[in-house]
Amino acid sequence: MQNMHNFMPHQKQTSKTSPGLRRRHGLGLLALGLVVRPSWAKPPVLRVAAASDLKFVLAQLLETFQKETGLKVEASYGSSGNFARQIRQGLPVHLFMSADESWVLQLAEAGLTRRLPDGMADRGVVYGLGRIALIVPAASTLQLDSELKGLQAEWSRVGKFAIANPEHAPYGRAAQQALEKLGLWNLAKTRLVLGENIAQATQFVTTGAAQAGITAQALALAPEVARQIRHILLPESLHQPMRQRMVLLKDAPPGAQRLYAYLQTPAAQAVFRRYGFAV
Amino acid sequence: MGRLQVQLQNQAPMPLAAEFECAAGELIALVGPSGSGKTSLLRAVAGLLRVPQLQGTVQVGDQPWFDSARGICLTPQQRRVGLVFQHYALFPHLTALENVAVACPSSLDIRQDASLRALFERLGLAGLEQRRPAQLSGGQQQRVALARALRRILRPQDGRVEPGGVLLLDEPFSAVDAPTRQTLYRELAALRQQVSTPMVLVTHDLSEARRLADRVVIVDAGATLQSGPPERVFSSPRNARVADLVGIQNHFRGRFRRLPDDRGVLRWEGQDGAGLDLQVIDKHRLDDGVAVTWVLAGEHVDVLLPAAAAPADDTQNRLLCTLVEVLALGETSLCTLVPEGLASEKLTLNLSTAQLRRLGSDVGGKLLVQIPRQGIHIMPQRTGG
Amino acid sequence: MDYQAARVSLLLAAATALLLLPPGLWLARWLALSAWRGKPLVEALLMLPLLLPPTVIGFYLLLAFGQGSALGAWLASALNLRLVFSFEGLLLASLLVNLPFMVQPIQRSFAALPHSLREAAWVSGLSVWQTFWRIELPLAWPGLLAGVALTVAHTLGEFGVVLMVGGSIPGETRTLSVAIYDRVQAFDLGGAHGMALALVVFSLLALALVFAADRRQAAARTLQER
Repeated sequence: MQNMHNFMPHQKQTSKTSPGLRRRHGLGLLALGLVVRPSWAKPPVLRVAAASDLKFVLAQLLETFQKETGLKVEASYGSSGNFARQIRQGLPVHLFMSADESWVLQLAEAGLTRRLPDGMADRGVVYGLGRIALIVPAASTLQLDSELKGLQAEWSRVGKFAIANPEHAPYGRAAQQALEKLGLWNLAKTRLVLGENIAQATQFVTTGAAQAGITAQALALAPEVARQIRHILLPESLHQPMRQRMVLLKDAPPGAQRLYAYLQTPAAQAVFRRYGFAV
Repeated sequence: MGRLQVQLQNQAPMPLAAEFECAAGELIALVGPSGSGKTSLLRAVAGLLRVPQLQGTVQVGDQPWFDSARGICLTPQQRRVGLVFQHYALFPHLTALENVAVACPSSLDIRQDASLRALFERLGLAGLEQRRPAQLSGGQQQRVALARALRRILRPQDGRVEPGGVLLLDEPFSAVDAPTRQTLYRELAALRQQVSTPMVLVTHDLSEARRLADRVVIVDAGATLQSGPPERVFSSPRNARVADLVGIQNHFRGRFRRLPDDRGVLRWEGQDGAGLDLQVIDKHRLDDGVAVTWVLAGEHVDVLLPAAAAPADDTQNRLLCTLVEVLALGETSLCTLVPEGLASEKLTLNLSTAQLRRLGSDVGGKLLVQIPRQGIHIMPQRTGG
Repeated sequence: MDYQAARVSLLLAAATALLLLPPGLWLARWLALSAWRGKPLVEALLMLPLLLPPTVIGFYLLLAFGQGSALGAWLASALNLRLVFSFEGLLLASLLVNLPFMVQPIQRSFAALPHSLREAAWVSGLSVWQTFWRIELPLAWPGLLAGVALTVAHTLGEFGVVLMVGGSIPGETRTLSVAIYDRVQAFDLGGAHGMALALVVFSLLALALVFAADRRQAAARTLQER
């Protein structure tokens, strides 16, 4: 092997640039460095967009997954409809877990989900069934029952009733369906406060801003929430089934597929069940 | 050395119709009320007036600074003009020395430069070089502003004037208190001995103009109405407007009639139709029987006690007047006298308080006002002059 | 405390301020000195981001640069540049929204400089550029400082646009303000408190700096009026 030494005599370099100019160059490089994407040095990360009701169960599942596989996963939570819209506009996520299958199916139709070997767009898989619960703040003395009769009796005490926004949050839509089925929609309409997503709607009740509300059973069971409220599970018959579907999006990396598979294993399903998802 | 020649015209909204000159070593005062355009004229000479439709020329020596016909308009930087602003316009973040040396090349070590030191000494600012403007008195700030202006027009080597320079002063003493003002007047007079460049002073203060200027130029609504030595302009205004502007109070209406031997009669007409005849000189500039306005030059007027007066001759006009008001102003008293036979008119005379005391006259008493023929200055009634 | 989010926020604020300073300075000085008849229109356009809801701005940015638009698709394919759901997109939105915060204080400080100072410099022989550099800038710098401080503080607090255009991607578009929102949604109020407090303290410091600078400016001004 040849020694490729470059014998450069050590010359004293006379600075041709004035101090002011050098300072300006340095500043420019700094600015450039700031502008360049801050994520340029990070290892590839898996991104999941998940419905808000999955907040606690997914945190648990991801912890296990990351420990077992060593892959890094970042999850964002929000309303399913909102995520679907953002995905249309180019949101760079790999796995979409919706609280309602219609959003997933729409994305598949739009060709935004991953392509299956047979050339079809992946329509994902149902990972659970969403259930709704009626909640009141822990200190409230309102009576809870599955037909909201207790609430109706003391309706004057219910200043605000919180649900998620039915337009883009599946749990909100289910809440509206339930209220309509019970003939309470017109009554409740005047006192509704809408949450951006089911987590925000739940917030309204936990903080006492709303005196009652309908939320996801999964959230009502989560320890952080449960200690601030009282709840009762509402019958499935009150609303159209919320088939919760998840799907891999186009160009999802192999790691995302592993996550997708993991979430369908019996072990994962047990966790789902524990958190109140009917699987 | 260059003579400054200015001739400028402009339309509304800032009308100008000005023409004046200033020789090297001469100090002229542009005098006029607020809003008369005198500052605009000064700024036009300095190159600070940004009016695209400006017509005319500004020439210093044989160098044109502005010539609308030839499309020449030098920038302020290109004109060798030293301008002292009304509120000094000193740079608050620089020391006095840095203010004066602001346009010196950066290679110059201003603290060591002998010419700058000499300039500071010459203006009585020695020792104040490192002070910021906020740490200087009003008079000192004014002198620093003057030093900065002088730096522009003097040759650094020997402190003599660079050819082609002009010194402009925009109401430089209006923001200064009275005692300081007197000091600065004296200093300016002393400076004039050493610096022979055209100097143009803008002021609304007539007494200041009279004190400092070789010639005054009366400016009103952008037009130069009259120019000449102060005594002549103030005693012989060209027309009624100039008379008003220079503050002449004895300003009346009349009718002129010609007499033989270069003599004339001025009928002083009052509001109520009454009149008095006065002997005047016929300068052959007016037609017989024409309506005129006229002013009285106060320095020609004498005031006597009626009883003590010697007999008159026909070169003197004598008016018996009643003293109706005396306003004591220290050394002088402003006296208002009403002539007999012309109750609607008033003469305003500045008499020394000593003289008034000698006359022993009081309000209501009678005095004889003696006006020589040459003390009456007649102007045609057309305001065009 | 979400340090990653804090880093994104600080990076966004610093980049916005640095990139806005030169054009902001140029525009502010022009506005301060110009007598052009069309100036009120420019000033109104400049103020627009202050009046429009951030969601509106975010919405139009999504329409213009999102995957669905021709421009967005072209940028992605030709320049590999994504302007939604990316830090660059946030930066672009931030630049648009913060322009008035940078320009206004600078404009005020230049307008407050007595014009006679400039004229004195010109008749003393300084060129327009020299006058700007040696006379105007040393006297107007408090305005620049205020502009930078306000821009930084405002960017740190920016929420609506970030939410619309950012997508809350950790390490890239999840800023501190969005992280606080996320903490609250996750029923972790303690975490939210900490970050909110940090934001408040930082913003207070920035504003204190602005007001202190303003006082210096006022002192320099009154000297001139004496």
